[in-house]
Amino acid sequence: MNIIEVRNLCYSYEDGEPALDNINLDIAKGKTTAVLGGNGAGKSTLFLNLNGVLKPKSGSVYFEGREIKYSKKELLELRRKIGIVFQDPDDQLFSASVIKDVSFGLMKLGLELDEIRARIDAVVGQTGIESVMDKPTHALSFGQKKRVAIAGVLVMRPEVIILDEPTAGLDPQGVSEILGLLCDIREKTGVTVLISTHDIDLVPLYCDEAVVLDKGKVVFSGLPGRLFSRPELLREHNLRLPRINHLMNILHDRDGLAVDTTAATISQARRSIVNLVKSGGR
Amino acid sequence: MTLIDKLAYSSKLAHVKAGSKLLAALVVMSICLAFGSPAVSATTIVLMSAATLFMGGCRLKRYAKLMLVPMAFVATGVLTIIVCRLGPGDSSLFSFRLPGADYGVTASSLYMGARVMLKALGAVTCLYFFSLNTPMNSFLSLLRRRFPGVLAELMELMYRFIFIIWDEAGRIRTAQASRLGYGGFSDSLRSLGELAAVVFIRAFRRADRIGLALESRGFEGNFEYLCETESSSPGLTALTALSAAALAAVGTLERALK
Repeated sequence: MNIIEVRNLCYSYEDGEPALDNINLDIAKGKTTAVLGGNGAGKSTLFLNLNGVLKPKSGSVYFEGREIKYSKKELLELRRKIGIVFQDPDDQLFSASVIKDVSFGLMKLGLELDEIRARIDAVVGQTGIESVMDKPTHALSFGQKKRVAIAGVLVMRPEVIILDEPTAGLDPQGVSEILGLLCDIREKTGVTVLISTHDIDLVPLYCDEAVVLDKGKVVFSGLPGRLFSRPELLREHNLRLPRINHLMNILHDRDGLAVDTTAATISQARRSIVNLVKSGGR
Repeated sequence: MTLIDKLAYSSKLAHVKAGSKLLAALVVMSICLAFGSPAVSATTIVLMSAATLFMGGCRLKRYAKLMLVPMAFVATGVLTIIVCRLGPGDSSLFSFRLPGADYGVTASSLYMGARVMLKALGAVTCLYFFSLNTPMNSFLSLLRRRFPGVLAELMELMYRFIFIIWDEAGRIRTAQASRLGYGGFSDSLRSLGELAAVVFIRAFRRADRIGLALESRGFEGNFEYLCETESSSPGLTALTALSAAALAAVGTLERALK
């Protein structure tokens, strides 16, 4: 089942240059979809069209099978259900106080104060930001700010979480922590995740689906494995193969080894190589 | 600026209600100013400094350094009180002659200067007690309860973005300096101008992005959120009352002895 469907969506900014050009897209419920594309491909613009902050010039967006109507009430409901974690947490965290920022939005849902506190406590534990609750936002590290930004989205219990470049600017440990956190959230809540990223290597590890955007157009949509079997398409749109995939291709094509060229993660590659060695090289 | 901010968040009194700290500072300061006597002022300085150092946990060295800032202003002001124009036959502790008249320090001008200095520093210790022990976030929550929402919200946003813009300006400055931007005087002026222009443009663009982010989070024109939990401190209230009584006693005693 698709949670979001986009039909013939076109969007252009004031200068007239089309930012999104006839986009058709299905986002599967409960899956993690990678949205790939170089800088300026239209990823962020697409996201803002999905939660109704930007209104398409033509075409339509369907959420849970219903076309988005741009009435105030419906938009607020939509934005509760689709949470965006922006690339720069300093753009998202408007308050100098962590608790104020995390509770923002929650206050409008008309919940009891106890329920609000319980939700905040749960999310604070899940995102591991207990130790920074008393600190002012500007005293937090980049990774901590990112977690607070995710917490602020999670408290709303969204059905879709969109993360714009969640790993940009983080050190390797920060990257694996954030991705681990995302896997954990997905497992517990079954939430649909959209991740825009430049980091191709994390796609085979964490994503079920992949979409490639270039110059405002969808140039690929489908399983990551299918995408990585078309290196020429990736190169054409300023992307590349995952490193492991690339290595397996070289081993296959140049060295004539019968390895699995679709292996894109360390564990898949390991299995393929071990099998090859055990079977005596052929 | 950032030092005071950091100290306030790490104060042992950070979680005590901002209101009770403000009350303590204002009550003690009014008594200090109302009496204006050296004994009351000196007692105020001792009491409030002790409160900041022991109750708040501020380090003595830091506190002394911070006290030097107002001290410099007070000292220059007091100098003009201590040194006065001498009339014929005035007895002075120290005097010098300038074209036209004699100037010097008399016993009464010295007393007057000391009194003003103690009074000013007494008031400073009261304000320091509040500002070094009250995190801005907690003060803003207090303002929010007492003032029109828009004002408090504007202050909150300004407080948040001062640090972002400050960081950004710092990074631009470093980049400029790395490319010899601040070599000579004219270079410095030009670089500073460019820095101001770039910071302005970036702040503008950031405001756009913040607007989008807020809208994505369901912003409808007013900020609603949960504030930090603050504990009331009966101890502080009792100490405030006690200090007020002590100061009043010292003041009355001094008057009676005169």
